[in-house]
Amino acid sequence: MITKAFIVAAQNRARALGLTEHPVVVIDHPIASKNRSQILTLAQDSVSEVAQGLITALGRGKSG
Amino acid sequence: MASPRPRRATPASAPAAPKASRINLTGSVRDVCDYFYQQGWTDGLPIIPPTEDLVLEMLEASPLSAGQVLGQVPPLNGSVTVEKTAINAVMAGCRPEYFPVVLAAVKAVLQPQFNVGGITTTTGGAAPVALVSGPLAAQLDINSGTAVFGSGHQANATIGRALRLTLRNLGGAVAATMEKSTHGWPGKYTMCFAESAERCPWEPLQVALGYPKEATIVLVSACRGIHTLVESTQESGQGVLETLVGSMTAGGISGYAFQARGASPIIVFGPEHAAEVAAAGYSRQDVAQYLFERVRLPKSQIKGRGHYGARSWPAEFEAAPDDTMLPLVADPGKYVITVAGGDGRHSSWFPAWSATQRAVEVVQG
Repeated sequence: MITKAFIVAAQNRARALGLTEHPVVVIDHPIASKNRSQILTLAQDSVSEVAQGLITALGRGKSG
Repeated sequence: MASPRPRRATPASAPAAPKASRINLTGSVRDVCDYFYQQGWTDGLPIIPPTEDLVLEMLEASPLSAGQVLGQVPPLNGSVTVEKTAINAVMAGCRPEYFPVVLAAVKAVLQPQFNVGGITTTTGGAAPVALVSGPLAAQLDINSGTAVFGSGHQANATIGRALRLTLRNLGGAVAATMEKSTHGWPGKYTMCFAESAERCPWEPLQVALGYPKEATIVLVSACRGIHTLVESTQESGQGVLETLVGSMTAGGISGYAFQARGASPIIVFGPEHAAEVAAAGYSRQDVAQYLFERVRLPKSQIKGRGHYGARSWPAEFEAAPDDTMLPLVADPGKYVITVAGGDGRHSSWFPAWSATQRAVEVVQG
């Protein structure tokens, strides 16, 4: 999971690690100012997208 | 303007010790500089074109072989060989005799606790400050005196720049992609200086850190900028220390919420201030202890501000009452105390970035 400000950096980092199709979940920037409760809400809102990304990546691994 | 045309580029050929690519360019020095800039290989300043003869000259001053791999530099994990470091040192304008210091600085930032990938990708604007202490500093004319932080000193300017270009070209510290500093600071171009052996009233820094007096060390700490203070009214070391404490107890200093990470601010006393602090009976260790006890803010002033939301501090701080005075650093040993600069009533300190620890390497002869 990354914030919008780090999309390009995340893509480049993934490429450097040889994970060009690594799924990325993008959330609003910034998060440093959020409190614990707000962070938990962000995480809960992203759970399904994270799960979908993991399933997709897993499926790609099995088929590959 | 004639554009330089690459005529031939040879890819790396030896995976175990990747050899740098060769490229042939035509055109003037300006054309070559423009080409390097367009490729994203420079910091915006002109470079010395790294021709094979100049790189070879740099390598002849190296204590390590050209193909030796020093590590991988995040965030893009480029392989750092001695040869590639030499190329960046040539580009930066280093004289060959500086190269062992450059290598030590590069090896230092590659130590895991320094978190070199983090200093590139943080919005916090961190850059390595390279502090050299030991006999080689004077031999190489690394400035420790007047205008120590710039400009006009070849060794300081080019050693620090070689380190930055290495991080840029092998690690990907480029603003368009991985470099995410909100502001950054001129240390992103270069920041290297030496402790003043002549005017330091204490044992040399390398000795204080447990190295032999004959050794020359490079200490790196990732810092967010430089804060210079004046104390020209007080004439006692005690007064100097009190003013220093005042300058370090302001809002917005990220370390106050990140003590658990173990970062090291660097305190640089001007020689006049240092002499007065020593005359007041303070050793280097006493100064660190003094700062640890007094460079503090009440928890109530830290809560809800600055980096509090992402805090990383000792568990006991979490439960401490709001009137508890919390230190900037985890323990007195985190402070790096040194002496540099010319005459005058000024000192400086470099606020450390949050998620980093300092690293030290001995310069190999």
